[in-house]
Amino acid sequence: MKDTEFDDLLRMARGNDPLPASFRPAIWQRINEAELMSRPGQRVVRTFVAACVRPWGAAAGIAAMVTLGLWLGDMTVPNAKDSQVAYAESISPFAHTYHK
Amino acid sequence: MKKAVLILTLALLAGVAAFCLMRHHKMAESHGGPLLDSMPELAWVRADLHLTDEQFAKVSDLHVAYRPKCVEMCRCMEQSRTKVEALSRKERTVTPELESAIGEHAEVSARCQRAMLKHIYDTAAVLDRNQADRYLNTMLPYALGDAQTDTGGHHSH
Repeated sequence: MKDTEFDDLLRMARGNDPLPASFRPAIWQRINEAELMSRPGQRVVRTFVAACVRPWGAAAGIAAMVTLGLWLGDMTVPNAKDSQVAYAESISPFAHTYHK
Repeated sequence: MKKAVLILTLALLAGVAAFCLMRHHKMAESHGGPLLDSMPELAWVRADLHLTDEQFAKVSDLHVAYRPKCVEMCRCMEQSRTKVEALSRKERTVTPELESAIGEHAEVSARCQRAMLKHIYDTAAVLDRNQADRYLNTMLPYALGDAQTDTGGHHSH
């Protein structure tokens, strides 16, 4: 096909009706949405990242990590009951035979 | 994206710092100096009964003196129990030998119980009245067999 013939064909394909102003942005938006929908993991990550950079999201994230740290710090220290049992076992000649 | 990574890193560091601070604080509460480092089992006595340094030193001395006896009694208990178990599996009736082993085990058990009770009373004697009451209320069930240790651990002799 010659270039002139192809140009004519393109002109015919566009038609004579003018496109609305929002046509191009709408097309790109649909393409973006389709891309996001095709990768759900990425969508979750983007939502998470977007939440993180917001002030309330950042504050909530830091508060949650601090709370988790405090809780783990408290839980990993031997409690009073454990140390009481440890003492009782250390003075009991029966400690060895209890668990048979 | 960079901002999000920075915030996440900050949150993680804050969490780690909170963990370390809490742990350090809790450990400091129960820390009792070099004596407790060598005998961590005394942590409960020190912390729960709020012993003075002098009381703790006396309790530690009693504990140190009692430990070798406790180890020996533990060995005797284990030996007599093993003997009873072996004889009870050997025959399907109560043989004179098994009867004798049962008596021996009961004797060892009674001796151990007496020694443990004596140690508990000796320890209580260096405490004030309230401390002694609390100590006896907590420890006597262990000596009388009413409380069983539930840690699944064994003596660290």
